Amino acid sequence: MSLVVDGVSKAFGGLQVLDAVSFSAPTHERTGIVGPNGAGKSTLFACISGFIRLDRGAVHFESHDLTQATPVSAARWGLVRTFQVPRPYRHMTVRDNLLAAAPSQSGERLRNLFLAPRQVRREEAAIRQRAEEVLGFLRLQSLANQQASELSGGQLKLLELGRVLMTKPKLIMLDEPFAGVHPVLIEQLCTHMTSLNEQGIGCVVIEHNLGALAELVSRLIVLDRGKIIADGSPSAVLSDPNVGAAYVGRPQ
Amino acid sequence: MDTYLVAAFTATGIYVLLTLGLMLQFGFAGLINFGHVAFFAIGAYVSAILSLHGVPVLVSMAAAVILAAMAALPVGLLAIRLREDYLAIAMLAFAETVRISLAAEQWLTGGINGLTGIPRPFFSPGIGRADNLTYLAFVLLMDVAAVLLIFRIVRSPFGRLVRAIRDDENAVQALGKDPVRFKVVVFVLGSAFGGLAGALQAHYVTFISPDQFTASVTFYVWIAMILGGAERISGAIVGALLLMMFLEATRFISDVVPWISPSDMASVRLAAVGLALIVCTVYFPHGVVVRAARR
Repeated sequence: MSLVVDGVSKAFGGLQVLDAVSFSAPTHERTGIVGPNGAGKSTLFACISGFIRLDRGAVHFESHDLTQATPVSAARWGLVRTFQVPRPYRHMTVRDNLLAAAPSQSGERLRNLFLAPRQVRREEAAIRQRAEEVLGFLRLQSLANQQASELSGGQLKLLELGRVLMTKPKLIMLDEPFAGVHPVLIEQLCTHMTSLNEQGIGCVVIEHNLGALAELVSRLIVLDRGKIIADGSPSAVLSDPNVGAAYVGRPQ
Repeated sequence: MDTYLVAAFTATGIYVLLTLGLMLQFGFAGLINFGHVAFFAIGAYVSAILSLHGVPVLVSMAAAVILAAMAALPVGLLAIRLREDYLAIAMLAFAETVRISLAAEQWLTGGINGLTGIPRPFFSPGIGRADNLTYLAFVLLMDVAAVLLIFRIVRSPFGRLVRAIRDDENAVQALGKDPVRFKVVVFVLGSAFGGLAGALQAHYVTFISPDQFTASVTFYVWIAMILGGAERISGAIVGALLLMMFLEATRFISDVVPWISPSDMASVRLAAVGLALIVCTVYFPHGVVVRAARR
């Protein structure tokens, strides 16, 4: 079971943002993707999750071909992402944010509301139960009835993770989960991701915060100007002189 | 006087249905529909034509609702994929197309002369005082049913997802649900309410013609919704009531200022409604209902 990215290229106008990027991320691993600003990390995520059409290359997840897939089908196949800037349902409570994310609810079809109300009620009870479990796992119970718009940046990242968990994902893709997050919450997020990974859920993380990321992942991929310049264990990658050059700047 | 009140309340009851339909689309799902009158017209003509051909009035009305919904489906599937401001323009064009077609297809619709002698339910054909009261009760019953239906929908998992879509469509997609399907369903539903309002209108006034279905109806409904508050069921009801009170009150301006000719009066009323709308958006930006609730 893995995500396979094969020769993915994407250009915006004359700018080659991704240039034949290939890697495979098995779901039993925690993979980190790093790189300086503008390296193409978020574009890579958008290409994998179907928000942007890629120019060349292919993306597969398990037996599914994601190359031409929409974000909706990618998510239905178990590949679920978060966004660099959190996208909560601001006017809804934390609990409702989670409830709305539960997959294929029969109560989301008008027909069932009127023809199968008992089935809808039964399912709703199960979904609520599950939402409480997720709230408990992420220690968000005390915020359950708050409007999402009232949460801090770090709490929003936890909320997004909670929504992703409600979909029962197979592989989670997090876009800068640590940006602007309190160190205590970063530690919490890492604990959650590690325990999820031990339950068999894969994770791919884009991050600027190298220190925290190196703690979390077992493998680092470094992107620079649309190309992979290093791929390996965090300690090996961080001591690679090319990686330092990409971050700090090259000698002229 | 009481005849006049019954007439005013019946018209209000019909506008409440129209406003509830638009509230579902805009207040609930964020769809900007500038062609709401199209479904009002379709409902009115379908029910009128069927009943004039001998179909029982209640059956004609049901058919009007279903046909308005069926007309909304293809339009919605096409237009909702557009950017939201394009949806507004596409719907405006659709409504004009419907109105012009109604004027052109003389064999079916009577053209610009319209259709006359549309039967009333329950007491046809005589139109007496008891008949008007019964009809008012029927319209109010439909309003109550509509409100109950909307409550059920808004508070369901379906309603929850529609609110999520309004807050962030991309997040809904990333979590594996297709926003288009939900928006189309809400659009069709709102249009069905428009169709029901049209059928009630046709059997109430017993005479319909294309010039009753111009874009100004759409904008009156928008005004009613904005006046009351777009996001609340009570807002739709209060807004429709306020609009009708206002329209009826301005009817009497000519008694106070006799130098305005009757033909100018229509423009004066429209200007007065516009002024009221400006005042309301300045002082009650979320509608009078929200303002009242916060006090």
